[in-house]
This record gives sequence, C-alpha cells and structure tokens, in this order.
Amino acid sequence: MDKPEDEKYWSSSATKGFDFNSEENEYSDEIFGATPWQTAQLSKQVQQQQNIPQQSSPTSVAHTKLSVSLSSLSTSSNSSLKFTVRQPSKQCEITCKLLSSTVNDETVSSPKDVVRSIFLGMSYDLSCFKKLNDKIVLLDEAVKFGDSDVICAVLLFLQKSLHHLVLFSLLKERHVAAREYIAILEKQKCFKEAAMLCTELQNSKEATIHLYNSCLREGEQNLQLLLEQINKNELKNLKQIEVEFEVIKEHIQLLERQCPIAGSRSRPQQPEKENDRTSPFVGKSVSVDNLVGSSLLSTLQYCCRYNWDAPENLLASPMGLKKTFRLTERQFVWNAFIGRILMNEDPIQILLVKGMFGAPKISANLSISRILEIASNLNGKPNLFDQLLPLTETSEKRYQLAKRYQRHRIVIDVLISNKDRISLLQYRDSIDDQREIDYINNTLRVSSTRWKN
Amino acid sequence: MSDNFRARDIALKAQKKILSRMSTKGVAKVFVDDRMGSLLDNVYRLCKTYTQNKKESEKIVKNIIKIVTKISLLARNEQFTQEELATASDFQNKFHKAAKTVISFFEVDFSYDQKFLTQLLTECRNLLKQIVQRHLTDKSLGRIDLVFGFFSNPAFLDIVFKKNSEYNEIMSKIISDMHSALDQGELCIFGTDCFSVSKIKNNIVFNEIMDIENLRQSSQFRLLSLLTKIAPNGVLKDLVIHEDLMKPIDLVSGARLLRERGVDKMFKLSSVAPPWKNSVRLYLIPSIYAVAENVAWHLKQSETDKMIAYHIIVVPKVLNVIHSVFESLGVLDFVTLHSYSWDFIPLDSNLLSLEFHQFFNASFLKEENSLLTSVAKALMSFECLFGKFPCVTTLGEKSHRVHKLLGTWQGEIRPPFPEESDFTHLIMIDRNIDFASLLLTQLTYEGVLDENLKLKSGFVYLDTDGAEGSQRLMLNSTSDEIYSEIKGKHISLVFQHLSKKAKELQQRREIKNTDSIEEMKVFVSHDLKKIQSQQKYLALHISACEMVMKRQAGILEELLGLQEDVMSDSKLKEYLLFLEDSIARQFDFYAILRMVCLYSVMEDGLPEKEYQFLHRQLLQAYGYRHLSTLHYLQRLGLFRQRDSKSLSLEPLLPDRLARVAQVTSLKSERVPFRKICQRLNLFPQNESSDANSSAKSGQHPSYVFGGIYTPLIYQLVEKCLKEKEPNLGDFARCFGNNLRIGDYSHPQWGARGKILVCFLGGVTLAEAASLDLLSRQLGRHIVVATTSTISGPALMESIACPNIDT
Repeated sequence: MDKPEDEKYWSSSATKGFDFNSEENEYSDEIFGATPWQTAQLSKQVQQQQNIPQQSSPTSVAHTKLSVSLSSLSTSSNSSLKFTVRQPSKQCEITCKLLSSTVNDETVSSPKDVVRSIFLGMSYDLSCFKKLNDKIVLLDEAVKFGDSDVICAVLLFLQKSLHHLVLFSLLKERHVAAREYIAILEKQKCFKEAAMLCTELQNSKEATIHLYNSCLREGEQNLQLLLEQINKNELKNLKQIEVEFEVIKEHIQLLERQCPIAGSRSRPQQPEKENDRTSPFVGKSVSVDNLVGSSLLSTLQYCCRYNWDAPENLLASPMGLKKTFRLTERQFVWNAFIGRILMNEDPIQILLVKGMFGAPKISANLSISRILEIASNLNGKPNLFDQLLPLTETSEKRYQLAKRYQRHRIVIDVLISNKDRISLLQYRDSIDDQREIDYINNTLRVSSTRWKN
Repeated sequence: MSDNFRARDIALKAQKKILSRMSTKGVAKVFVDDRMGSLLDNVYRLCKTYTQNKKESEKIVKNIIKIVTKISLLARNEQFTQEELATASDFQNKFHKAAKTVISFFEVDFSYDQKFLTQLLTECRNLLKQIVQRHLTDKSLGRIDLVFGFFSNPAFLDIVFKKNSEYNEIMSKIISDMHSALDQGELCIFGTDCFSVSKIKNNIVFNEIMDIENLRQSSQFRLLSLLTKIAPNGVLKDLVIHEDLMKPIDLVSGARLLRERGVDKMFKLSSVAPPWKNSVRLYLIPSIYAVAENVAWHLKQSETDKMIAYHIIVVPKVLNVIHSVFESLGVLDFVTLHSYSWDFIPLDSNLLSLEFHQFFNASFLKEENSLLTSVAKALMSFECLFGKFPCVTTLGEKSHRVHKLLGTWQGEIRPPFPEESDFTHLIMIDRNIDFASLLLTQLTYEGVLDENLKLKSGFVYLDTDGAEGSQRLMLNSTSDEIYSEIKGKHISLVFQHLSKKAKELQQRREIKNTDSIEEMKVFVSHDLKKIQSQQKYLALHISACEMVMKRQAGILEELLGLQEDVMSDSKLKEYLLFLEDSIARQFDFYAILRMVCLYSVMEDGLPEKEYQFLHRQLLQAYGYRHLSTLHYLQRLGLFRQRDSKSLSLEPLLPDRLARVAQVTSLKSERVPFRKICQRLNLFPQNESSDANSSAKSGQHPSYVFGGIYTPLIYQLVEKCLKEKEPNLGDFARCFGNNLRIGDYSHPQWGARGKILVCFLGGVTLAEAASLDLLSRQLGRHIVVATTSTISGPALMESIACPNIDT
C-alpha cells in the first residue's frame, strides 16, 4: 500500500466515529502503542504537511465527488472542477480500461463459433457464458454439432459453473448430454452423484448399480459395511428396484457368513496344495484364502468339503445355506457332489433318492452321463460308476458309458443280455483283465443261452 | 468445364506449395517406402563425407525429396500426357541401366568406368527434364540439374568407387539396399539418390492402383514426425508404452524406426515408474481415462526437475476429460499432451482395424461417443488416399453420426482428395444391429482361434497364459501362405488340409534331394527356405489346433446342437434346462452368458418368470457382483425381460393394415430379431438333405456358423451392390430410420469399384469370412474396416470386468 493512503485510512477512521466516551473504545486502544487519539493527531500533522485538506469522512468524499462529476456530465460548463479530455491521469486510464472490460464481458461470443473452435482444437474461452440461458444455448449447440468430446468440454465447464441440481434439471431433457455426463461422473468416481442423476432421469435401476459399484470399488474389507449403509440410506428412496434390493440383501447375508467360515478353519502350516483336479464342466473350486468374496455356490461347495456334517444352526452348514438362500435341489446336489468327490468321499448318498416304488433314482434329475464325466475328470472312485451305470435308462446308453469308462463287467452284462455273442468275443480280445476274460469264457460255456449270432 | 479445370490447377498448386514446405525425409516416405528412408540416410552421409558440409548435403537430399514428391503428385493427379509417359518409360529403362551399372562397378573389381556412368546420368537428366518441363518451374528444373550435376561429378565418382576408401562402408550399405530392392522384384532401382525418382516413375507407369499398405505408411509418417516434433531425432528419449498399444505401434512403425527417431529405452507401462535414462520422457497411452489418470498421478508424485520434459501421446485424441485430469493435478507445467491418431491399420490383406478396443463399451454401453469423431477422421484420411466414397449406406445410429461427422471434417479441413475413387461404396453398420453373429460360435478357422486363443492385433499366443516370450503365431495371410488357405475354412476341413500340406512339403523336399548339383544350388537358395518357413508355420497351426481341441473337447458339439435349437425356435425347454444345470455347476461363465443372451435375443426378451429365475441363478453361481454385468447386458438389449406391451398385434391384422400400422410407428416400434431374420432370409433354407455338407464346404455364407445363420452384413452388402438399384426394401422395413441409403441415382452406384465395409463396435472374423465369400462370388474387392476385431467371449469378458474403463 502507498504511504499516503495508509495515513488517510488512519485519519479517516479516527474521524469517522471515535467517541472517547463510549465504553467499547476502552478495550480497543493502544494497538500500535498509541491511543487512537494520538494516531489521529499524528495523521493530522502529516496531512497538514502534505497540504491535503482534511475531510470529514470517506463516504462523504465519494458523495461529493460523485455529485460533482454527475453535475459535470449534465452541465460541464458549470463544473467547479475542470475535466480535461486530453490528459487523463494514469489511474483514470486504468479505471477506464477496467470499466470497459466489464462492459465487454456482457457480450457473449457466438455459441456456434465456440463449439466449432472446441471441435477443431483451437483455443476457446467459455467464461463469457455466465447466464443460465447462455449456458443452455451453448449445451444445445454442442449436442447439435454431434461431436461428443465437444459436449464433454461444455459439460466440464457446466460442472464447474453450475450447481449440480441446476445442471441435473437441464440434463433431464437432454438425453445425449445426460449419458455423456454420467460417463464423466463415473470416471471421476462420483458414483453418488451419478446415482442422483439417474434417479432424476427416472432410472432407479441404474442408480442402484452406480451405488452398488461404488461399494465394490472400495475393496473387500469394508464391503459388508458399505453395502449395509447404502441399503439403509440411498436405496430406501428408490422405487422399482425390488430385484436389485433383494440381491444386495443376499450379498450382505453371504458376507456375514463368509468371514466366520474362513476364520473357523485353522490354516494349514504349509500353503495348501492347489487342487489340480478340475473338470471343464464345473467351475474352479475355492480355497480358504479366496473364500471371502467368492460366489454363493462356491461357498456352498467349500462348506460341503470342510463342514459337511455341521448342524444347521452353524453358519458353515451346507443345509443351513441351502435353506437361508432358498437354493434349488439342483444347485445343492451338484455342489455337494463335487465337494464330496474332491474330499475323496463317497457321494452316492447325495445323488440317490428314493423314486417310485422305492427304486433308487438320481436326485434333481441330473444326467448320469454328465455326472460320470465330471467324476472321471475329478478322479472319482470306480465304485461310483458301478453304482450309477445300472440306473441309465437304456441298455444302449449304459453300454456306451460303460465302455467309455472301462467298466468291463457292465459292458459284458449288457452284451450278455443282448445275446450278442460276436461282440462279446470281440470285447474279450480287447481287454486284458483276466478276471473279466474268465467271466466271459464262463458265460459262453453255458449251453442254455440262446445267442442271436 | 474450364472452371473445373482451373479449380483443379489451384488445388494442385496448393499441394505443391505445401509439399515444398515439408520436404523432409518423412514426407518422401509417404510416397516411397522404408528402404528409401535408409537409402536417403546413407546418401546424406555419403554427401556429407564428401563435401564435409552439412548444409550442402542437406540441400542435395532435400532437393531429391522435393523432386520426388512433386513428380509423384503430378502422377497421382494424372497430369502427364501419353507422350510424357512414354518418355518416362524410356527414363525408367535408362535408370535401370544406370543402377545396375553402379552395382556392378562397386562389386566387380577394376570395372569402374567414369565416363560411361557420367554419360548415362546425363542422359537420364535430360529425359527427366523433358518429362517435367511443362509442369514444374525453372527452379525445380534447376534442382534436377543440381542433383544430377553433383552425382555425375567425375571427381566425386572417382573417389566413391575407389577401393578401400572411407566411402566403402556407406557405399556397401547403399548397394545392399539396392540389392534387396532387386530381390523384391522392384526393379525400379534405388541407385544413388536420384533413383528415387524412378520409383515414382514406376508408380506412374505400372502402379495405378494404390496399395492398402499406404495406410500404414501414412500412420507411420505421422507418428515419426510427431516424435521429431517433440524432440529432434538426435535427442535421446525414453518411451513408456501401454500394453494395448504395443502391437499396433509395432504394426505401424516397428521398433527400428522409433530408434531412428531417438527413442532409446522402451518400457511397458506399469504401476511403478520405469528406470528412466534420458530427460525427454514419452508416454504412449490410449484415450482411456483411468490410464491417463494413473499416469497423471504418477507424474504428480515424481520429483519435478526443470530439465526433464514429459510428453504424453494419447491415441487417438486428448479428450477433454483427459486434459482436465492433467490440468486439475497441476502437472501441465512440465507435461505436454499430444494427440496421435493412426489410420486404419492393415491386420490382414482385407482387414483394416483402428484397434480401439474400448470402442464397444464406450459407445454402446456407456453411450459416450467421443471416439466416433476419430473414426470419422480415419475415414477421411482413407478418402485422402483412395478418393471420396460416392455411395454411402449406413445402418445404425452411430454409423449415421459418423457419416455426419465425416461431412463435418471434410467441410472443415477441405483436404485434397484424389479425383478418381478407388472405392465406390462405403457401407457402415453398428455392432448392435446384428448381435447373433457375435453370440453364435464361429466355425471358421480364424474365428475359432480368436474365440479360444484371443487374437490380439493379428497375433495369437500358443501358451495358455500368453506370457512374454511365449510362442506366438502371426495371423497374416500375406506372409503365411498356409494361413491364407485355411483361415476362412470351416474347422472340420482344417486338419485334413494341414495333413495334406504336410505330406506335400515332405515330398517337395525329397524329390529335390535327387536333383543335379546345379539345380540343388538353386533349390537350396530359393525353395528350401520357403519350404522350411512353411513347415514352421505348419507346426504352429497344428499346435494351435491341438490347443483348441483340448479346450473344446466334449463341449463344442453339445453347444452347437443347442444353438441350432434356439435358432430354429425348437426344444426351448431343454435349452433352458441345460442353462439351469450348467449354471448350477458354474460352467464357464462367458460361454453361459453368450447362450443366455442368444436365447434372449432370439426370443425378443424372456418372459418375466424365466428372466428372474436365470438372473437369480447366475448371480448365485458366479457372484453377486455380476449384478452390474447383468444390468449392462440388459442395457445393451442382450439379456432382458420381454416388454409386456410389445405383444405385437401384427399377426392379427390384415396384411395391409399391418403395414400401415408399422409405417406410423416406424420409429418407436422395434422389430423383433427373429422377425428380422425371417424377413432378411438369414436362416438358410434347409431343403436338401446335404445342407450340412454344403454348409461346411463354404458355398453358402451361413457356413461360418455351421449352416444355421447367415451374417446380416452379408445380406446387406449383397443387396446394396445389386446392379443399378439397391434392393433394400426389406431392410428399410426392419430398421426404419436406422437405415440411411445414399443417393443411388449417383452414376457411381452401379460402378464396379471396391467396397469398404466399416463396422462400428467390432467385427467377428466369421463375418469377415462371409464377406470374403461374397467378394469371390461377385468378383469384387471388399475390404473390411473396423474399430477392432471382436469375439463373443472377449465381449463378455470385457462386460463382466469389475471396472469397465473407457
């Protein structure tokens, strides 16, 4: 600050309204090691030295000046002060420039030109679009032009210069721009705002997805907590999201179980050997390390492996999972079967149910050929094949499967029941299991059989 | 008429002017090829060594380039008269002779004859001046004099051809370049420097149709000149490159040319800063926000040193959102952003790709269309090389927008287009018009490789993990003869072909063993190499087949049967049961999603109960986090609930009323996909019993999907190319406003030019194969251009990814 102005301030503040009788002043003096009265005196002296006439108060100065200048405008000849056009002071010049530039600000450059400049990558200035209506025209022009990057440039400007509620109400009627804006918000990780905009656009399903994704992005640690939060707060206000709501609720329920289940099994000293028994027809099984975050069925399969006998009231109980999540019989049987086989247990009890007239039947109508395929991929025990093959519907199919999995006795039995002597002989030559060869020979020796060939 | 001519003259003048301002080696490379670049470098060095004057040598090389480009320009615009062309042919022969002479003099000791060569060169100069006299200014003619004068200078020639002189090394390089040119059959000769002119001459006389490879050169030129612009070639630069861009950049320029431009160390972009070596540091990244943001944060945290300059090259464009992230992090003080957009990259003889892998998800899923402009720009660039497309047909909203943007670009840039159009048709289609081609299993060899081994910019990796250094197979029919024979074949015929080929190659080897020594020499130097390289390729193809068989054993057949059922609208209960059963045991997620989507697309959405059921089963089996995956599929119209309203009244109404009803609701009413298939005849008629065999033999386009479906694009292109008037009524009825047909009164509509078919959002190789078939059937050249290649599994994988970055 310039010195003279400094002094002016002190003097004017002193004259403006110091009342030595007022109580307030007693607290506020001597800031600079002098009482206000002292400073006022000092300033008086200084001003007198500079020949500046002391004025009563700054406001009154402005008023008089203004009145003078105004009068000079109307009747310049009467003016007591002389305004010379030729020699404006430096300060005046600056003021003029400032003034004229504010005037320039009022003129809005053509939105069409600006949009084109953005498109061509030339320099542009959006700051002149101040009024809401100008902004709307600009946005519409950008949309009309057709280049999305131009629309984005305008949207980024609007994001900075408009309250989001105002912007949302604009976007409500402009679908193309709204989609671009949602994409921008997603990139900026403003999922809550994206969700709000979607709600504005009557798209509550998408809003839910944005909220849900925002939780997933945060990582596994706090996922359960975050999901519970959106469940309690944002989702409550959305309509027509019954399906999504249900899914998120189930997800929370699953997470509630997974942590204790993973924690309950003491980790083996050495890292678990990666289970290399896989089948192209089933998914990869999970280990204790990646249980948390795995799917419901993977969790079920895990529980079938390590907590098969857990009573229903425990979190890790397979039956408990089935009930809580209303799993279908098919979902349960497949995963129980795979889980037991991987533990080298006999899965036959899971697969068989009592059918009509007490005859055993495959539960959930699973296909036997598929079961056997998977069992063979996962190194299932042979007796499983012997137990399941007799249940195939036709002998032809039984023959095919038995041959494929080399269950010789079953192949032979089918051939015998078909009275196909030639095939039997051929089969005898193709195998080297002495017991089965003997079995064939014994059968052929029986003279009562009436072979068809 | 006369007006027209004048305008052309002006345009030409402008082009000449522009070129004269940009006479760099790079520009010349647009017109000539790679070898030329290295040749010019060596010539420059030769001159410099001789004159010891940098300026003068530069001037000579610059003059060569100027002459070359100007003549090429004249040639392209067909400014030469018949007479001049005849002279050009004479010049060509003389030049040929001069080049051979140079080689012989250098290689055969004591054969150098200065007078002979000087005379030859003088004759060449006179012929050349005669050709261009009418077209170029005196100044240009002066340039020709200068160049020829320099090289026919006896003192220069004497010292250059002197044995064991300091020029020997450079000369041997030049000679070897000339040799390799001869080996390639390009007898247009690069001799010393001015020989480049004859290359252009060659273009005039023999090479009227420009090669598609020019696209590559145009991309290359722009990349290299950007690098030079960032820092002169002499300044060493470090380059960090994003994984997705490595293959495309390799295809555009190759590492050697980058090194010539001063690129020193190259790193793959990773989460940690590379061990920088130089102070000019480049990043080459795709215009994906998350990638850009990571780089920006990286730079934010790195120490700022005023001596270090960072340059980020964004492909294809520095989008405004990307600029904003760099700006907001306050790194623009030491970081400069550059846009680089390549042209369509030739992946195979008839397949061009922009390699924008994020395009589908950005445009169709998120409806952010910033990349459309870059596609339009690439198309305009294409037009600059091959002429404007007189007839444009678009099917789909994005295609229409790209077409409009193409017009905008043309209006803004007003580039000089060649007079003649090589390509008479541009047919553009949105990926979401025909989802079936994406969801059905592709059964051509290349399609199967893509689905199982993930084709990446023309390469597949033959190890399951695709790790660095694993065996890779480049799928390009121009370099791999075996691939060109089998790529479009139905897979059931591939192995047969390969084993036949193996026997053949073995035989060719054995027969040759008994030949005479002379023949043996020829055989060893020519055939043997070829046979060996073919055997190498053969082994790679066989191991690729084995990998696919291992993956698909016991699965493929069942899936194909089910697909056939769903396409013919039969046994849907069993289809649904299969889905339920497979989902319960967590069968391959992407395969399941494809089947679910195919079901939904063909049934025009699922009934509420079925939809809810599958939705629930999928999430329970594969994880609740796929809630968003299923939501995205729904938004794309791939897996959705049937609208209760869309119960069409059409079958109940008399035909005429139905048509009226349809016309009035053309915009809002979406025609169910099955109906589209029926109207457009996309389900092949299986009247004959041998339908299956004809499908496999590749006579009918549906063979690419095992005879159950004809790609929609095949029908569209075929109908568009119907003589005189396109027969697109059925398409208009199916797609209403989405179909925009160009002006088919245009005289070029019936012309038999080439056709560019452009896919927005990706093309499957099966579709490309069906267009190859059409091309053979019609005897017309069809080129496929796409934003990227795509396959069903790749699409599902990208949608199921937790963060879809665009």
